[in-house]
Amino acid sequence: MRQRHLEEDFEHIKTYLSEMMEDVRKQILDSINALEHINYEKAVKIIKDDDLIDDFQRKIENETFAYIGRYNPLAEDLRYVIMVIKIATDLERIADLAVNISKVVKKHKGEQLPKPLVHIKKMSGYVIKMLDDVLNAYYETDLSVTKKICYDDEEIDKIYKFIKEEISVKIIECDDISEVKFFIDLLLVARFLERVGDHIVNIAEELYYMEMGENLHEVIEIEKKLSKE
Amino acid sequence: MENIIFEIKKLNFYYGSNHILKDVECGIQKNKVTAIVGPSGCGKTTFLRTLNRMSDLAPTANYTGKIFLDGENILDQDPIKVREKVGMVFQQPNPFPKSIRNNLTYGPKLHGEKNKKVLDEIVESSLKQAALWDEVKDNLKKSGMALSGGQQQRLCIARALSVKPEVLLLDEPTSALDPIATSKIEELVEELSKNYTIIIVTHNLQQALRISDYMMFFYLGELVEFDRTEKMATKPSDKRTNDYLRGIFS
Ligand SMILES: Nc1ncnc2c1ncn2[C@@H]1O[C@H](COP(=O)(O)OP(=O)(O)OP(=O)(O)O)[C@@H](O)[C@H]1O
Ligand SMILES: [Mg+2]
Repeated sequence: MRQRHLEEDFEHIKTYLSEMMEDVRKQILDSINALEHINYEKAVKIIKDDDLIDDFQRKIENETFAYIGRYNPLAEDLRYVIMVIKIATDLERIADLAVNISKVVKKHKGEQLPKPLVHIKKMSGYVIKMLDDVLNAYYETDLSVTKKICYDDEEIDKIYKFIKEEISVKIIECDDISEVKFFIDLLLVARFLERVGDHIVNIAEELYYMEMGENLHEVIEIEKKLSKE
Repeated sequence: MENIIFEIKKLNFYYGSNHILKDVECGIQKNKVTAIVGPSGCGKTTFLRTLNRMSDLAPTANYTGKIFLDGENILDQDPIKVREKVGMVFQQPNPFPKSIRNNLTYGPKLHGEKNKKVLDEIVESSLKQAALWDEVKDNLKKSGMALSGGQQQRLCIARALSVKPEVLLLDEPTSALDPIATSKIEELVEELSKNYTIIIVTHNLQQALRISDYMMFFYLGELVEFDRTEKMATKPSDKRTNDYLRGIFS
């Protein structure tokens, strides 16, 4: 019979991962908020709280290694624990990107945004929605949203391209050097969000593999090919 | 199908009115290690022993279906002939209470080999293949029963090899051995699979994963799943296999 402590250790890892997901979502949401209002205090707090996220990742790694060593998990369990490690790594990277955004805010302490955030807000809107979907997919084991996440990421890439164009033009037109610097930093923020999107796609793929044992990317490629025929 | 040595067709096996094996169909790859796993009583031993016609020794045994070995149905053949091609090693080491040498010349002599030089060669090559030669070469007159459990089991493997079979059946060959003797047998299985087809029943899942290329999962007499070992370990198709591997029932 399956041992009780095995189930308990498993639940432990699950709980850590869901808490980490929620915290990372908050870090991203706060960093965009901090940027929007150039809120220095908020940015500093995000950077400080990143240590907590790192702790989470370390705890999940340790627990998962111990679990593998102790129980030699197989089949579904094996997929689960390996994917947990990968998801935690992606979450940690997303949190790092929230820190990067916060550093931009810190740097421009006391300044005004050169223009209101329109497309960056659009990007962050997608990112937050994708994170919510990931959380849902994880809690409800509802895999249908994992595909949606991949398609949302394509939208993010489009907006990022647009922002690149837009900001290049702004930089050429602009003769105030500090404004130019700010635009370059906003371009960086867009780049950070684009990377966040990639990591969320990784997580969607990891959740899919966890449940199905199949590569979501390949599944989507096949679907695309079929719909073209 | 690339290189199938055993082709099993609709095999049904009964002890009296007990239906033990149900419509088993599969092809076993030549010179690979196939591990058979499943809960106690699911029919692993029965299946293994039909492959060298040992299950039908029981008075109440009854069966239908076909088992092709190299294209011929072994269920129509003389069991003695089948066992020349398909050797077997049991859970408890069971050397003959004779010298090491006699354990290894017994089979070849039974098949008519009288030439001492040939017999010497068989003794040496069987012991070498079973990774026992270095330990016993100076002591071939010693009784097989005087060896350690692990050495006895390797002697039994050497004995099975002495008649130059194609297939080696192993039924829980390490369950009576300590971890070191067990890992020696595991290494040996890997080495032997270069030249022999090996089918091994084991209750030790980790062992099955370590040494096998293919895994069969039996449940209540049914061959539920049979696939490459990596696939079985990470992504079994049947829920029953998944549950068994996760230890939900055993
Ligand atoms: N000689 C026999 N006569 C009658 N019934 C038998 C005989 N040998 C085995 N059986 C029955 O056949 C069924 C399958 O037995 P088998 O030994 O093949 O199981 P197994 O999977 O090898 O189990 P284990 O893991 O415990 O060795 C069992 O229900 C057993 O009681
Ligand atoms: Mg048995």
